[in-house]
Amino acid sequence: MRALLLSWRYICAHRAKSGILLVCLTITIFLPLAVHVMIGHYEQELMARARSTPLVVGAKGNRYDLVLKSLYFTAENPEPISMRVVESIRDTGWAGVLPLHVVYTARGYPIVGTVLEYFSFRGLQTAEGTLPLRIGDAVLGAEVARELGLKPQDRIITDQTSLYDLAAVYPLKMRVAGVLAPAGSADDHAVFVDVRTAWIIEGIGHGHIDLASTEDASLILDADDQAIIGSPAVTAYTEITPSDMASFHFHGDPSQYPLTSAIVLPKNPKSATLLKGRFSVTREERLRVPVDVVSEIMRLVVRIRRFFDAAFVVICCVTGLFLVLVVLLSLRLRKREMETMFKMGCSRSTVVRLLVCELGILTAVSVVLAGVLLLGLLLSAPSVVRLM
Amino acid sequence: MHITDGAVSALDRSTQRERGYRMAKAGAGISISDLCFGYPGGSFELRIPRLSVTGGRRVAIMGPSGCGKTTLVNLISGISVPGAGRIDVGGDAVSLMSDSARRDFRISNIGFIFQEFELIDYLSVEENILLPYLVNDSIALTRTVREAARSLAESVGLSHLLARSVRKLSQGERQRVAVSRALITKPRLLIADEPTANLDAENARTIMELIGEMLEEQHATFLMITHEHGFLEGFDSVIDLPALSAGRRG
Repeated sequence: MRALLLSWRYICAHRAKSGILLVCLTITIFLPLAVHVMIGHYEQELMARARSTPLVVGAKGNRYDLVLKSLYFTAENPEPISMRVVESIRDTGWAGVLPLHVVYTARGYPIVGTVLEYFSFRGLQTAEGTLPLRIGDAVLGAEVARELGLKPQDRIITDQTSLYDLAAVYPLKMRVAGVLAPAGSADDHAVFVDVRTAWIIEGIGHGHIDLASTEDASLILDADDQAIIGSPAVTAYTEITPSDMASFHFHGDPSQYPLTSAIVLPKNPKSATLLKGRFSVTREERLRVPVDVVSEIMRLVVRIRRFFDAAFVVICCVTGLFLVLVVLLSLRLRKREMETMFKMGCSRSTVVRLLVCELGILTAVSVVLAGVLLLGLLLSAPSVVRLM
Repeated sequence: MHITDGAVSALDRSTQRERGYRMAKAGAGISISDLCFGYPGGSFELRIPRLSVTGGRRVAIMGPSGCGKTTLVNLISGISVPGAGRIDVGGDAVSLMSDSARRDFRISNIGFIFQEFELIDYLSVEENILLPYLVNDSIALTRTVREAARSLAESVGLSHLLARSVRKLSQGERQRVAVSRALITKPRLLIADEPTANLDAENARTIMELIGEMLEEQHATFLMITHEHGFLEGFDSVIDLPALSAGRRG
C-alpha cells in the first residue's frame, strides 16, 4: 500500500510524463484489439450478406467484381448480361431471379435497378413513403436519405456519366417515392429504382412528345403507314411525370436489355445443382456462389491481419524498450531521491517495487482506457465498418 | 558487546512490532577502532585508529573538502562498510552486520538531515515527515506514528501546512520539514551533513536552534559535518578529521 501511495503521488506530480506513457500504452493495447474487432466485424458483415444470397449469375470474368457489385454495389462494373439470361433461368422453373442493374449513380450513391421482389428478399421495409411502384420513382436507403436530407416527394437527379460525351443521355430527375428503414447493410447506401428506370437512365427507353398527334412538322423526319421517324429536334423528357409517363417507351429487343447481374434463388438444393451444372458449360455467363467468393476475399484479409499481428508484436517490443528507456532515464533523474530513500533504510527491492507499482498503475489505467475505447468501438463498429 | 547480525535484525523487528512507535531513547555512543576504508579503484583512504563519542553528546566533524567527513558518517550509519576495523554504535557492531541488518539498524536508530534537505518534492509535508515509514515495510506506520508526526510538525510550526506539497514551501519551512523527518523515528543518533551550507546566516542560525531544541527533548547523539566555526560553541566536542587521521601516523 505504501509503495502504491508513493507511486500514485509520483504519477500525479509528473502529469506530462505519465500522460505520454499512458497514451503510448493505451494505443499499444488498443490498436491490435481494434484491428481484430474491426476485421472480425467486417468479416461478419460481409459473410452475413453473402450467406443470405444463394447464387449470383453474371458475365464470365472477375468473380470478385461480380459478387461485390451484386451484394455491396461497389467494385468495378462487370461485363453486362442480358435479360435473356434471367428469362432462361425463370423458364427452367428451378429458381426465382432478381435482376440487378448497378451502373449509374445519383449524387454519388449507386442506383440499383431491380424488381419489387428484391425488397422482400432482403427484408427491406419503407420507413416513409412507398416502394418504387412506377418508372421514375426512387427509394432511398436510410443513410442516403439522412446524408442528403431527402424525404418522399423530393427529387434526386442521376449523375452525368461523361462531361465531354455530347451524345450521352441527359441526367434523369427522379421522384423520391420512399425511404427505407435502416437495415445495417449496403442497402442503406443505395438508391433503388425499378429496373425499367435504370434502362431509361441508360438511354434504352425514353419519353417525348407524341409524334403521331403533333402538328409541328419540324419534329417529323419521315413517316409512312408503318412508322414515324422523329427529327433531331425531338427532345427527350428529363423527368417522368404522371402526365407524360405514357409517352415513355423502350426500343430494341427486351431480351437484350442489359443487366449487371441477377440474384438467383433456387427452390431447393437439387435446383441449385442443376443450375450450376447448366451454367458451368455456357461460355458467356457464370453462376457464382457468393459465400465461396467472399470466403476467398476473407482469406486474403486474414493474411493481412496476420501481417498486422506481426507488426503489432514489433510495436509492443518497441514500446517495451521505450518503457525500459523511460525507467532507466527516470532512475538517473531520480538518483538523489533514491539515495535519500536508501539512506533512510529503503531497500533496493523497495525501489524496484516503487517503479513496478508506477508502471503497474499506468498499465492498469491504460488497460481500462483501452477497454473503454474498445467498448466504444464495439458499439460503433457497424457504422464504422459501413463508413469503410 | 557483540551481537550477531541476525540477532540485531530480529531484535529490532520484534521490538518494533510489539511496541509500535518507540518512546525517546538514550543517545547512542560511538566507538571506532582501527578503521580503514577506501573506494574500489580510488586513491582515497580513510584511516582512523581510535575514536569514541559518548552517547548524548553533540559533536562537530570538521575538515577540508575531500578529507572523508561524509565517508565517516556513512560508515558510522552503516551505509558503507569499512575494509578493516570495527564500528560500534550504541553497543551494536555496525561494521559486522549484514546489509539488511544494517538497513534495519539505520531505520531504527539513525536520523539524517541532508545538505539540501532532500525532501521528496511530489509528497506533502506530512508524507515527507513520515518518509522513513513510507519506504520501509519493516516498521509499522501506526496511528501513534501519525500523531507523533503531527506533534513534531506542530512543535516546529508546520501543523497548518501538513497537506501542502513541499514544492510550495519556503526555505525555512523546508528546513523544519527536514528536521522533523530526521527525528520522527526517535533516533539515538542524529547525523547532519552540512545542513547550513547553502543557507544565509539567519536561516543557518534558525536551523541550528531548531535542532538544538529538538535534541533537548530527544537526547540523541548528534554528529554534524560543518565548515562553520561560528556554530562550534553549541557542540560538546569537535573532531578535526585530518588531525585525527594524522594522529594515527604521529
